[in-house]
Amino acid sequence: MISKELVAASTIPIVLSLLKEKDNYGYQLIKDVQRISGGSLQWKEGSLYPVLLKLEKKGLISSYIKQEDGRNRKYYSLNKSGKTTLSELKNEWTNINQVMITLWNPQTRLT
Amino acid sequence: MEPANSFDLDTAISQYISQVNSAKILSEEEKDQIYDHFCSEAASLQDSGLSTEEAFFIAKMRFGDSSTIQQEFAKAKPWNSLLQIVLVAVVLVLGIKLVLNVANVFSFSIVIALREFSATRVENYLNVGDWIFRIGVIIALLYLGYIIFTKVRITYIRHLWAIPTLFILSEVAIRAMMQIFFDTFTTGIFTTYYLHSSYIYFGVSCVVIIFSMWFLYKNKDQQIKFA
Repeated sequence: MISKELVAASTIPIVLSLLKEKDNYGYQLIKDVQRISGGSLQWKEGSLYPVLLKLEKKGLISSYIKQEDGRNRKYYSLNKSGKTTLSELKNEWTNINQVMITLWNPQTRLT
Repeated sequence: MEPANSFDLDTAISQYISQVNSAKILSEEEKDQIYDHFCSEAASLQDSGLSTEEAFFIAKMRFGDSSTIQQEFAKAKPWNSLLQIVLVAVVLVLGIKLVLNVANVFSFSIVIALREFSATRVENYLNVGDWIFRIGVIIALLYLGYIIFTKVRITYIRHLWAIPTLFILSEVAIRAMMQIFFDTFTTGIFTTYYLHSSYIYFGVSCVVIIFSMWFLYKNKDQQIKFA
């Protein structure tokens, strides 16, 4: 199980990455994360919606309503600025990941 | 006899949404979004063999505590602090004026009721009455300030909407009463001058109030932290 702090820190890059693949709605985003992480990444499901709201207010994503199963379903899509932010976040996380790999892999450190 | 499964999923979801929205922070779209989430989650859990009631309780547990979700939504709706200060200041000024107007309305009511007495007696009454009302207003304002800064630490913009509304009503009432009062007791230049300056003041006040009311309405879901 991943710690609460790390889950919180990774939420935005994960949401933006998933929305880069395709437009999606809250519930499905949660299920996709569970599937991809094999259940190790557990979001408090209700907390995703305020995060989506924040991202929308920042202009990183935008939303539209679609009628599905007789209900109004709010879909999100990634904006241009969201793509830029995502690539920045990707660089940051890749750098961190690289540092960790180097630190924890003795063979890499020797080279 | 009670039916085997009397659990109403729609009602249960609506109740949960009402809990999250107890501070009226959610838009209709956000309520629909939570409703859709619960319906999707409950359907998925029911497909795996759970009853409607069990599915709802698990969905609720996974979604999170209603007050926590409410707080997170509140945080996601940031409030411009400069505008907050300006708005609170406008509302505070209107609030003070409202209290003074209420005192004046009482004062004028009594004066109008005493019209049959001589002008001197009414004037004497006004002098005494003004002092009493002014002291009353100061005490009321101090008490209000005490309540705000010690007890009500957080409120929502929509709670302040009553102040400009009541202020407009009190202005209308007081102007109507002044008209009656001056028509009865004064004539000539003073009345004309007073009413003309009053109209300008009233017009400017209306613009400020209409703007502040529109602004309050636009931001009705925002929180105000007093301390």
